[in-house]
Amino acid sequence: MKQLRITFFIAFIFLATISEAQQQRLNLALNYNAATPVSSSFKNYISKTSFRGFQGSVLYNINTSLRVGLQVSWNDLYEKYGRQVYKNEDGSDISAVLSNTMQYTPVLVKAEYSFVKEGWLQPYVGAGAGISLINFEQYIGEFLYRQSYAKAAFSADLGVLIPFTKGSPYGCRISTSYNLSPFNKEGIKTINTWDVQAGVVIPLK
Amino acid sequence: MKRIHVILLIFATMAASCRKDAIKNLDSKEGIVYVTDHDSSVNFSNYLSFRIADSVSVIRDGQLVSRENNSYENGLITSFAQALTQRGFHLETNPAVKPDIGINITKLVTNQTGVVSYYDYWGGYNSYWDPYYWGYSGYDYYFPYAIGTYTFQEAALSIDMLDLKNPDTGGNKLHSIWTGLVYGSGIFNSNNTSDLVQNLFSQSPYLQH
Repeated sequence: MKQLRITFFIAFIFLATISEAQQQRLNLALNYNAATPVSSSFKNYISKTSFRGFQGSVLYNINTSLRVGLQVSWNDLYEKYGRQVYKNEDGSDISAVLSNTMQYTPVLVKAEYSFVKEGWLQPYVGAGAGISLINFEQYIGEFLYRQSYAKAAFSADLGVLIPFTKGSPYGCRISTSYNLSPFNKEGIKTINTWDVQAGVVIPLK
Repeated sequence: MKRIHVILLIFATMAASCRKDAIKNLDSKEGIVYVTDHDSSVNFSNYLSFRIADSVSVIRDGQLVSRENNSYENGLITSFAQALTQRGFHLETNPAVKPDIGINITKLVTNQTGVVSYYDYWGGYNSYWDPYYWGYSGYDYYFPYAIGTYTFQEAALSIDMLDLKNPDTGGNKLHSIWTGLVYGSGIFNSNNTSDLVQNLFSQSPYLQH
């Protein structure tokens, strides 16, 4: 995690030193992301909150309130279950340590609307729709079962932008979001997570 | 555009480096998988005596290559005999007396890449273990349960209990009444033999005289 923070800091300093344009129309947001599984069928597979996630978006300012663009998130979910005996379909008993993992990557067309155009705190709401790339990996002991899926994805979020200085296009943002992908595979009906993000906004041009 | 490329590169690097490695998060024994199955029509309390074959067959890529009786194999045979004795069964040491249960232990090794199906092993069982050893020349083996869907990489250990008390004289078959299959790293380590046997028995509470 320390390595992650240093990488984030270096990336931000690098970008912040690049000259600003007068009229910032395109903005990049880079966020750290934590995700908690919500639905019972998903929690049966993994119930632990993931603190291994990132989010990036590039949004175009249509006007001072509305911006649209593309958002990509990535979360690595993992939970290890101690050795248990499971009844198999063929009647045999299988004893194993299960390591359930999932890498969830929603790629969304995103829109955000800010209620306040200026000031230190600029709250906004957002919504997105697109596709999620799901890498399902279950280790039975050390033996891997893996499947990849692409499913529809939807997101709704609420957050606040905080400029570093008054009127600056640079700033930080804190947000929370609800993400949903109908799944109906591997015993999981819905992949849905409640996420919390924190990161920075950087003008591109 | 250069700036976007740099950002995407940083993003991808962070994602790859932060993924939890499930294998690294397993200790040396957590990677091992144990599978057991048995003939559900059998009441094990009707069986008393048993004997274990005095060596372990080594099957490599579907061929019997040797019968071994070194420290690992001895440890395994001793641990299994002790576990059965603790469950009330009697180790028959007199070679002139036919026991109720005969036990074959087999090491399955493969040089093939990928996974190997346990089903293939059962198909050649007669060539690995001649029923003559148990006093039933000309007999075949019969496994009334389907454990063969399991696949393993590199190596597995199989233990089969044969019903010598009730041989199928009409069909010339020796029925298997219990099978234990173990696969994963470290299963051929001499220090693990007791653990392997204990795990197989702990998930087979019906193995009781």
